[in-house]
Amino acid sequence: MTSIQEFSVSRTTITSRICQSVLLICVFWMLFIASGDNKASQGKIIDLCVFIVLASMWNLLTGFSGLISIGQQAFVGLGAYSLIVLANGAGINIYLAVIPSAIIVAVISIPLGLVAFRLRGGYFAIGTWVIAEVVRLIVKNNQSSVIGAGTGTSLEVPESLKSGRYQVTTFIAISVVVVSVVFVYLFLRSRFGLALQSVRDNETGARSLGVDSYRVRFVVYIVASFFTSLAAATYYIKGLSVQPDAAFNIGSWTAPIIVMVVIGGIGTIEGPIIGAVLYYLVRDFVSKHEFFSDPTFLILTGVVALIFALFVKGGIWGLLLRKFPKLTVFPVKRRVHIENFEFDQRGN
Amino acid sequence: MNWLNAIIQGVLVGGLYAMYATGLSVSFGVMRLVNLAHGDLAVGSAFIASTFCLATGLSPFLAIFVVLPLSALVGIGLQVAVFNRVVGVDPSYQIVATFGLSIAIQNVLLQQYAANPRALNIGDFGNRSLKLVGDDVVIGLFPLSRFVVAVLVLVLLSLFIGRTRIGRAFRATSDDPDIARLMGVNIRVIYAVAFAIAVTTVALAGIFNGMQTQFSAADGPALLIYAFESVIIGGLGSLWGTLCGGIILGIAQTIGAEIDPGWKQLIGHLVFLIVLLVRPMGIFGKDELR
Repeated sequence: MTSIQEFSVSRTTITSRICQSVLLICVFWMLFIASGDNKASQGKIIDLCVFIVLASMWNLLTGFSGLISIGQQAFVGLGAYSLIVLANGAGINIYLAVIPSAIIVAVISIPLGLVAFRLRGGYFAIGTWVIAEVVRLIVKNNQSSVIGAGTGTSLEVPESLKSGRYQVTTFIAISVVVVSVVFVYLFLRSRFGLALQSVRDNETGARSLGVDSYRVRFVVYIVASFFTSLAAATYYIKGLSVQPDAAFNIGSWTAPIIVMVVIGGIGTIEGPIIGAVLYYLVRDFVSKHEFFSDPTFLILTGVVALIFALFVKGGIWGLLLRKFPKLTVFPVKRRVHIENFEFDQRGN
Repeated sequence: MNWLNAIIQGVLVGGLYAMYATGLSVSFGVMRLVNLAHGDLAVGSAFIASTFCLATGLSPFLAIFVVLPLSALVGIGLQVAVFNRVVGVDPSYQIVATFGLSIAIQNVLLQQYAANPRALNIGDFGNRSLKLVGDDVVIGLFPLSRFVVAVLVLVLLSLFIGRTRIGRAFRATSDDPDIARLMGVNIRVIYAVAFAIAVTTVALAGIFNGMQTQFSAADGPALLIYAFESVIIGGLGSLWGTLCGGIILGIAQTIGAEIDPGWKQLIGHLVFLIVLLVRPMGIFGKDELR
């Protein structure tokens, strides 16, 4: 008989501390590049940061909440156009307009969510897509000079802000990615995160324990819309020109996002980051070789997504975890230490 | 503005949408599978038919008899190679797998046939029409026969599901695959037949679409959305509901186009969203969506 007297609960492990330190070094390295003059590298960092945020948010929806969305382009486009309306229309400083435009999109996402949440599972997925199409068509048919209808418009950068735009945008992109990832991490460790994952794993069970599954999922839907449009607004401070067909394009936004998350590992915090970095490295490599035309690359991404979804469900992070079970960067699980024993939540 | 004509054209287009939707309805009903590559299979079939016609110089109507058996085989192949692995697992893998398939098919078509639109030429038959109410209402002979074929396909399918042994196994599998298996139903065969039906009907719809309008490699997603909207408007699990849903969508689109050409799709989507808000189980659906 062992009496459990001395025990402690911990979440961080030595590996997680080491990995987090490495990530922190990466952030400082990106900040170093941001303060330099190399626009090409800065542009790449902005794109990478934006897609890490988009992938993390899709993963929060699909991997952690069971809300399969293929309509994230709705929030990318809305983020872009809110920025246009605030900056070009209301004359707000382009950098200061980023957060307000994301807040506007979060508010718009409430009625959109009320419609989407009428559907379940796979039909929810197509529903989100239809909603994105509706938003695209409404923007496209809007003849006001600020929106610019089908031909789109460009973000106007005042003379005073023209120099150093890439530097400032890179700083914003790095802040957005750090805040998003830390937010997802803390969110999933909270009571709310536990409720969320219980709903995903067994909705009936979670509800019987008093979890309001509808509300929990709805909050996640709004949060994901907020961060998705935050990243989109950041992207368009760099890109400047906005067209409805490009900003609301499923192929240039949601498709790569899904591929990144599936390759990295769906339902983990680390997966989308790994997937996004890998996707960018591969695309960078591929763009230098003639053999890979655009369709060829897209055929390959499609096939890779298919193969991972069928055979490598845990993604690359899942494969790594199988080899090194203790590996963790963002520990969400709790570990109980009792004298000489150690248990984690699953009783291993 | 000619409302009566718009409504009649909408009904005729709706038959086509219902034919797109049938396969989606069947594969969801029997396997709980949502196939995002559904529209791309339609476009792919139209391209194969067009290649066949160009190579042999034969009529697209003859191409149907070549493409349909082929698409049944493709359906069985896809079911065995891909979809059997995602039936019953977490739906997110289903969506990712079929989404990946959709991107792959679209870009294979883009690479093979470039971005240029194509059409299937049915000659003089495409131009013949019946004139009603003076010259105000013109019904094309081809859209009319297409509508009749669509209704015929639905009649045959509902007879097949309602009256035959395999049809009974379909319904049993749909209700509870585990119990159906205990009763001696070979689920894999049922799934393969269901998917063969899904691909064959959507291929026929794709070819019919190509006989009237131009099509290109990127059209698949729009067709998927029309099919999906028809299913949801009509109500899950009801083939006649799907026909009705297709017709409502078709009418909404033609009336939208009548008001402003840019509104064709928008009005269709809005009608769909209104139905979703007012009656989420669809017009003929009995249950809430599960």
